[in-house]
Amino acid sequence: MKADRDEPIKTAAKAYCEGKLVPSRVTPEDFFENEKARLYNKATTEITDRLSNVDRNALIARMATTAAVLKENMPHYFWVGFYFCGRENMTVGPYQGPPACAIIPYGGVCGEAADKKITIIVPNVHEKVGHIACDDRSNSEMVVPLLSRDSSVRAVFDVDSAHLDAFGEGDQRYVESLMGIVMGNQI
Amino acid sequence: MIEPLFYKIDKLLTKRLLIISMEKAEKERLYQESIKEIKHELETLEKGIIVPRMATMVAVLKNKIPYYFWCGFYFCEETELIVGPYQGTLACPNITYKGVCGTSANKKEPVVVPNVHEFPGHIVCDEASQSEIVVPLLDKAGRVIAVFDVDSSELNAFDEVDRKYLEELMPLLLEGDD
Repeated sequence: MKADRDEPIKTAAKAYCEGKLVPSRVTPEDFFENEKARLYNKATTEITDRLSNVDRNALIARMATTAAVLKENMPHYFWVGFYFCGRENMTVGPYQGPPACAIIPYGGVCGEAADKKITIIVPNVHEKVGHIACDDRSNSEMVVPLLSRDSSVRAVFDVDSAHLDAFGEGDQRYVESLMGIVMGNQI
Repeated sequence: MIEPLFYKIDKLLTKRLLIISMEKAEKERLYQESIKEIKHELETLEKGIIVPRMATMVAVLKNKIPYYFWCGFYFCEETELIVGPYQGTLACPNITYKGVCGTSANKKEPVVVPNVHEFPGHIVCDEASQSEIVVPLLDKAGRVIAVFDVDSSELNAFDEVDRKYLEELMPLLLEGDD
C-alpha cells in the first residue's frame, strides 16, 4: 500500500480504537493488522502479568481474567468468553458481553473447533451451516480450542464481532498463544 | 463569585435526589425483569453445574442494571478468595479475606458499603468503584461457597432493594445440587 492510500485508513483505525468513531461505520479492512498486533501484545503482557499470581489449576479465574482483558483492549470484540466441553453438550463459562446461550449442542462453530481440535474462523456467521445464533448482532466469529497436555479439549475460547470478517490470521496466532497461557502450559 | 458555587451545589443535589428517587421506583422493576430472564435461561441447564449459572446471572444483571459498574463472583478458598465469572473491568484474580468480600463470607451475611473509601480493609481493584454490595452464596450445610460482588461508580448505589433481590437470586445457582 502506498503512503497516501495508507493515511486515511490509519486515521480511521486510530479513531476506531479510541472509541471516537461509530464502529458500524468502519469496515474491518480499516482495522489495521499492525494495530491489532499492538493491542494483542499489550493484552498478552497484561494477562501474563495477572496470571502469574493465579494457581495453574484455577482455570475459571484464569478464563475470567483473560476475557476481561481482551474485552477491554480489543475494539472489534463484541462478545468474548469460554464454553466448557461436556459429554453431550457445551456449557458457558466466564464471559463478557450480552447474555449468551447457557448451553449449546456440539453442532455449531464451538463444537466443530472442539471436535477437530483446530481454530475455526467464520467470516460471516449467517452463511455458516449449523451456526447457533445467541445474539443477532454477531456477524463473524472465531473459536479456539483449549488443549490440555494430553491434547484433550476441555473448553473452547469463543469471540464474536459485530463486523463481518473481523478475524484473521493475526487474531488466530495471538489467541492460540494466549490459550496456552490460560491453560498454564507455558509457565 | 459565591452565586455560581451555590448554583453548582444546588444542581448537584437536584441530580443526586433525582437519581435516588428514580432508582427506588425503577430498581424493583429491573430486578424483577432480571430474575425472570435468569430463571428462563437457567431452566435449560443441567442440575448442579454452578459456573454456567454464575456466568449467566452476571451477564443478565450487568446488561440490565445501569448502575452496576462491575459484578461477579469470588470463590471462597482456604486462605484467599479467587475470582469466578464476572463482567466489567479487570478485577483482582485473588484477594485476601480482609476486604468487603471476606467480611461478607466470614459473617455469612450481605454487606452493603455506601462508600468503599471509608471501609477499613477495602481492597481496591478499580479506583472507579465507589460503593459495593456483597452477598454470600451458602450451600445446604450452611457453608460459604462463594460471594457475589457488585461495584458501582456512584456513591451509595445499593440499598435494601438490591439486598432483597440478590438474596433471592443466590439459591438459583445451587438448584438441584445435592
